[in-house]
Amino acid sequence: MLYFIGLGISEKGLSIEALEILRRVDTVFLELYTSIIPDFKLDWLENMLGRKIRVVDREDLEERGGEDILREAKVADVALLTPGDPFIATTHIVLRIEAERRNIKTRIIHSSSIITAAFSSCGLQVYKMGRIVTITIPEPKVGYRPITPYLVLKENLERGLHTLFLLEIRAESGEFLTIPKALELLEDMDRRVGEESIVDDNTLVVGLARVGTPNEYIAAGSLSELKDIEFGPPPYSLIIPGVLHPIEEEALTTLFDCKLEVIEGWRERVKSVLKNT
Amino acid sequence: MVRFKQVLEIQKIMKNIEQVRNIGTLAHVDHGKTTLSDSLLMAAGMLSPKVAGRALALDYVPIEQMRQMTVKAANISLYHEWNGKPYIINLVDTPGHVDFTGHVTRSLRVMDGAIVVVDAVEGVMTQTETVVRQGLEERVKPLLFINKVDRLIRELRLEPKEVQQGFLQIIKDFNNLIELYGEPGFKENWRVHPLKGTVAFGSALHKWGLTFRRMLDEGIKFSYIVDAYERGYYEELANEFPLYATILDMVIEHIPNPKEAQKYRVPKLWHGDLDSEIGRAMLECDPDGPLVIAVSKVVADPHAGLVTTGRVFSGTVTKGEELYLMGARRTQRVVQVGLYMGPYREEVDFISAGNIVALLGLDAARAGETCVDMDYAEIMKPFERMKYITEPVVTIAIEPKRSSDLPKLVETLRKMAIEDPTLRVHINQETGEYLLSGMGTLHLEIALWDLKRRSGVDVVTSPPMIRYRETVRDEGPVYEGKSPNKHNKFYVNVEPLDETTLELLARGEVYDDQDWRERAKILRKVAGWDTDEARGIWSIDENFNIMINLTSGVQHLREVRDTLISGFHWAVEAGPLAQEPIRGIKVILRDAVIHEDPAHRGPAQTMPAIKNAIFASFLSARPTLLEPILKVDIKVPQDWVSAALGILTKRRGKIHDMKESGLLFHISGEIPVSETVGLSDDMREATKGKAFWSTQFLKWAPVPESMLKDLILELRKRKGLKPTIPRPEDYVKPY
Repeated sequence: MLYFIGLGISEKGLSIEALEILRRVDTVFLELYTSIIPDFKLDWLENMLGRKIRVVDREDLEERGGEDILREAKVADVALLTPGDPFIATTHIVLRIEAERRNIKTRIIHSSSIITAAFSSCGLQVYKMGRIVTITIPEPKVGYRPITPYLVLKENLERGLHTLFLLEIRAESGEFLTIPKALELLEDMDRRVGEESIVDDNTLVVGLARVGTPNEYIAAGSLSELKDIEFGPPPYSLIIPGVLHPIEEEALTTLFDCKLEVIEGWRERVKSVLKNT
Repeated sequence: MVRFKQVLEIQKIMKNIEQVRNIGTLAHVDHGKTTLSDSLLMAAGMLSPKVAGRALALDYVPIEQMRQMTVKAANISLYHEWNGKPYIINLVDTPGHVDFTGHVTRSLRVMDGAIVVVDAVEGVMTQTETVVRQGLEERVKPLLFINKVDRLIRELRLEPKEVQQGFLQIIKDFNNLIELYGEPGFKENWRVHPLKGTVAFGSALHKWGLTFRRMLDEGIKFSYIVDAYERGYYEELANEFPLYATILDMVIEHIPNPKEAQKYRVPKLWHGDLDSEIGRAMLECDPDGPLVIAVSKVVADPHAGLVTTGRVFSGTVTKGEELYLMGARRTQRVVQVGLYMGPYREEVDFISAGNIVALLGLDAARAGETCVDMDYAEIMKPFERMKYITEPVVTIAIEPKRSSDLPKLVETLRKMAIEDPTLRVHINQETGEYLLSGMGTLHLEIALWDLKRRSGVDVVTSPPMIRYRETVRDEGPVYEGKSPNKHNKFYVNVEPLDETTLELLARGEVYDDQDWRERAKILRKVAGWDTDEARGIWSIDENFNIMINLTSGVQHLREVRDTLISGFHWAVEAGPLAQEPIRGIKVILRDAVIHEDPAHRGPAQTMPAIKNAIFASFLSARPTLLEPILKVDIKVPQDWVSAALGILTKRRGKIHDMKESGLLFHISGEIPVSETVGLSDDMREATKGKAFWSTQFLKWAPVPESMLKDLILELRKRKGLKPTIPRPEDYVKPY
């Protein structure tokens, strides 16, 4: 039996059900390379569970295809802990499929994910969530400079939808994309595509850091305002809203002191981008 | 007689382009190219070098110092008067040994005529053939100088009649080359003929030379020359028939001036639009046109830094001007404009079209660079489109005998690598050894000699290591390459490139950043390519591998295209057999599945995926190693023919042709580079030093099947790789 258990987005985000399973199974594996959880400490978790945890890295799961985990799960009960919700914004699904192919039963214990928490925390409605996309650290040497984030934003805006951007974290090497840098990249993509500009100094942006933790920090305002804000340590995400409901607007102004004129300016911009509504 | 000219006078002549000639010397190794240049410089090089503001007579410059200068100088400007008019003759430096890179082409590009030096004893040799062919390809008009006549008389003791017979044979052989390699419309007029005054003979060593025309005109008998040698007054010949005057007269009369030459040479040398503003200016050699400079050589000067030498094809270059370097893709400012006075550089304010210029400040320039007026940076087409740097085939490790000499050694090596782009210096990251790579064992021998001469450092070297190439002999099946996260899949196979396509690549007719329509047309018509494949080319690497995209409608492919190309380059840089570069394969992308989010289709995922698929298909396509093969030419007296043949056959050599020419037998054949270690010594010993021989790169050829496995394992062992030959399964995982 193989349990995929979400660690959630804060240091104590495990559910009671998860705790029960973690105490009961024969082996607990943990991967921490797909994201970071602020203040998460392995020895604290080991002490609380009263057992050792085996940390696996990208190589174990990707290069070696999680072979160690699968082999163990074939003969015993095994749990794999993963940040957030196990299959949201990860590629671990291949491991579950392979397990089932080998007649290993699987079960998922969900937890919070940034995908929903970002919307919860900033007061935007999940019903208007558009496609989600990651802004990655550019690697110009090997020709990797995606423009997909911009294309997704444009597509979402044309339908009046909000766009959630995840900012890439390379937990293994400690590299991460900051909010100001990500905003610069979006502006650059906008320039490269060269159509009518969407991302510039006046674009309405919500910047989110460490969502779901006691040190959560969120700011809403114009892109130029957000570029000057120090957000503290990662993880980060961004939302560029589409058409805002009056209550969403109130949430942004009341909870995060977003200036009304920024919202009003953006309202007009979005109207001009909207298609057939 | 030594005449002095001041900079201002020289500049006046240079502006009058009819009084300028740009030439070079070409020769088979040891036929006397350097001796000729030296003797031209010593006797005719009377451009007064101005040192510290004072005119310094040439007589004060020690001969040895002059000699060193000629070895290093990228150009030597000579002054000569003909029919009462002053002329400037720029003698452009040409490489001392034949190579198979753009090195020679870069010198040829800036010269309009060539003095081809042929040894009277050895006659026309392979490298004579190579340099004449290369010259004709660049529309450089050849003149013939038969050198070392003194040897005919003193060593071979030939009768005047036999000597003349020998000359006629050389002229005939030489004209055959022009007939064979010359273009219609040119070769008819470029054939040399004793009566036209386009053939001279003499001795560069003894500084005399004559044209046949002059002999006839003045009724000079050949026996006169023979007598001079036999009776020991041959030194008189240098006064009676000074070599420099004979050669320079011949050059001024028969080599067109830059303005005439550019009219027919630019359409051959440059592939841009001749009807454009730049095209017309270059054809006209217009000093008021847009500035265009073709760089022939870059030399590291201990005082001035990098000196960039080239020819101004159009416009006028002035100090302080900003130029765009098309190869380096950078803008740089000209800090100093110089002209050559003899081997020295003199600063001037400007140099105009048709002349050879020395520039300081262009640190990013390398031989082959095209510099252009900033305003034309976008529209200019460079002379060289892409640098297909041929990877050096032999490497040695090198260290100084005294470790304190290391900094000096490294500095000299770096400079040498800048000046000779075919020489590579790199550090083995694991061992810290300095590695020197070149085009052949002979090339490295010359480089080591030069290193010693320039740095004075004694070095210890390792035995030469040969570079190999990896390739396939069959079409490989399509393999699925998966990214580590399994969410990206690429379906790829490899195929060998056909000979015609390889030929097109080698000649630079098909290249990476070519217009795709033009390229597709050439590949379809000349090499019979399928239309979709010809149009689907994504990338061509410097070892002649081509990546082709045959997919259609794959989502997000555009965004990972450049990364996949990087993965292709990564794969072909070091193949699966023994991490030697792959050569001559087609990599065809047939289908692909790409993850929705940029975070899960980054380089760390897609590059290994494409590489693994390439390797798996490669290993299923009858892979093999290619080894570098040299063409070898031997001229040897009859008695030693079998000894020479024995050496070749013992070393896996092949004999292509054998014919009698004069007193010597001419053997031509081929030999693998790996078998040339110690060849010089063996040949000398076996033929008692009677064989003249030379080698040059010929081709890459598969190693014999019987040696393949052992060679792969040996290479893998040397590189610390797993001592087994990889299989396709090693690169494609079951799930």
